[in-house]
Amino acid sequence: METEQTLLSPAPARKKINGVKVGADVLKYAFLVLLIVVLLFPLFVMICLSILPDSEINRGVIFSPSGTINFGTYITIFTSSLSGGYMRYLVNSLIIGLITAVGIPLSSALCAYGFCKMEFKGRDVYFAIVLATMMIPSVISIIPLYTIYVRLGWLNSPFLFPMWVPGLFGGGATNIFLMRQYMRSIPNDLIKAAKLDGASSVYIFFRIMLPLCIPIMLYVAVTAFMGAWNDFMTPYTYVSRGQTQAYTLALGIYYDYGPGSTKAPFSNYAMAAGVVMIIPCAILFFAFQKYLVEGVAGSGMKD
Amino acid sequence: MTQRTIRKIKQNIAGHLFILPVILGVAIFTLAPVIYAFVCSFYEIPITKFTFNLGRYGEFIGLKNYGKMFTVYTYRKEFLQSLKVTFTYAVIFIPLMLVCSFALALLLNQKIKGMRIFRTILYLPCLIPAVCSGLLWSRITDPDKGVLNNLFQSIGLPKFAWFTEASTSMPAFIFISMFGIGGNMILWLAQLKNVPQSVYESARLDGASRARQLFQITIPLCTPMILYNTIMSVIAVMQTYAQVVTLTGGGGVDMSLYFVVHGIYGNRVNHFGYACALSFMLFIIIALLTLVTMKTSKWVYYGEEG
Repeated sequence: METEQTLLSPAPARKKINGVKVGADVLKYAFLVLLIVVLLFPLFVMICLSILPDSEINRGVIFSPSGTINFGTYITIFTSSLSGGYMRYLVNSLIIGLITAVGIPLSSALCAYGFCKMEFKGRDVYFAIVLATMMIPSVISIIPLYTIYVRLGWLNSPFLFPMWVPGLFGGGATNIFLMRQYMRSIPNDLIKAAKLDGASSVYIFFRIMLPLCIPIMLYVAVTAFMGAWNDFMTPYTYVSRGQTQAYTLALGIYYDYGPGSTKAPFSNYAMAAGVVMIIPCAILFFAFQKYLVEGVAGSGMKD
Repeated sequence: MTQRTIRKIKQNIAGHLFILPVILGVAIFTLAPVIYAFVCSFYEIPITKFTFNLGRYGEFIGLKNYGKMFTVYTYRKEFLQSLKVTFTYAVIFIPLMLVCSFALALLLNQKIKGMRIFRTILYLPCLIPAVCSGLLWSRITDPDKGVLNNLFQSIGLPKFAWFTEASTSMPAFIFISMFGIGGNMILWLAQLKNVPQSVYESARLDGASRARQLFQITIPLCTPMILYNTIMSVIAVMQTYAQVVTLTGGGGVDMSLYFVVHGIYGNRVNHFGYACALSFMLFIIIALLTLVTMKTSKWVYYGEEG
């Protein structure tokens, strides 16, 4: 993209008076730096507060006046009886995250392949219905699903069913849409040729289609993991307070450290718990930055 | 002939099998609960008698659940307050967010060194999960122990009440919501990249100013995305809940941050039927808003071929 732009832009037309251009650039940079300072301020405060000693946490400062750095909070949240469940929450969240990160891309790729490359009766009607469900606000189904989950015995389940099972069924309309958009760019001749060679649909899907779809699969996998990891509403709705075996990190942090807390520990513990929760997503983000920021997603919006 | 029919049937079955997960998913996890909620909204369902046998535990009361929102004092008070809060937030936040994030995307779409790094850094705050963000902001904005008020005082400004007073809660909430600007910015950037450079070339050759290029090329070509982003923002904002709960533990001081979804969650155990009626009201509101946005979208430009 970058090279394309520089090739296309006629350099002479753009170069006005150099001084003006430089001045404008300096202004832009200054504005952006200021914006970054403001936007990253909360994150910065969070990290700073997490290493403050207990005695100084309520003084309204960011940095310890006595110069103490207290990494002990990070150890305490994993070990102390105050929040002995933290490790359990972490494991629960990881399990959910991993299942969704594998299940959602696979499931949505299957469906997208059906919608994109298979010919069958009613295909477009089904697709329209699936897209229409994007418009239904999730809050409508989240409450009645509670009743259904009660019936199924999924409430407070240590197997965490409500958090990962629905994702396996198609992985959501948005993901199917993105996947289908991507698959459309893969030529049909490839599939036809394989069919002439006697390959089955299943073979074509797994051996030809999936390898070609790796970029979009990665994108969907990463966003699915982050979505599941950060999801608050699902556990909040289907896991009752005190059922720690089914807590995810998001819910555990809310009940143990948040405004819903009955234990009310020092807020440096809360901040440390939050920082630990952000770390996996931050790692994923930096590893897959190109996909996430440059937006494989955006390219699908063309039509 | 018969061979072809058999192949056709096989093809049909294979196709259906591929999309089976999503068909089941939509049926079980979307349509079934929606229909169930619709039916329940006509019933009075006593505390925690969740069941599919509506006739046995619930009493059919027709439209009374819907009527309650407007007639019974306590319900009306809550419902109107939630509408007021939700719409105040939507009317201020959505335009503010769309305009600011668009402006930011325009800025970051320019060919200046290091833009990619800026994009990445500006997106970072979006990584903070709702739970952490709630915890963090309730801590930062604590009137006495918080960092912000301390900062204000040290530069001679008065203390700000943030979420401890009804009058300052909404402005404070809108302020902290703006920190998610990076997410919207990314969406705009993707669209801006789709605007062909050649259009700008010819505009420049014709001597069009930067402002004219913006208003006559960039914005018209971005209108599909503006429509899409507006609709998605409306749907999301109407369902605001997690951000507030993790921040205040409820609906804010004096219900100053009591959104429609607060009503739905607050009633879901004791008045399940009423909660379902509320969620359908929300559905109708969202559908109407979406419809109005779509119907008034004559300004959207879909390219030459229409």
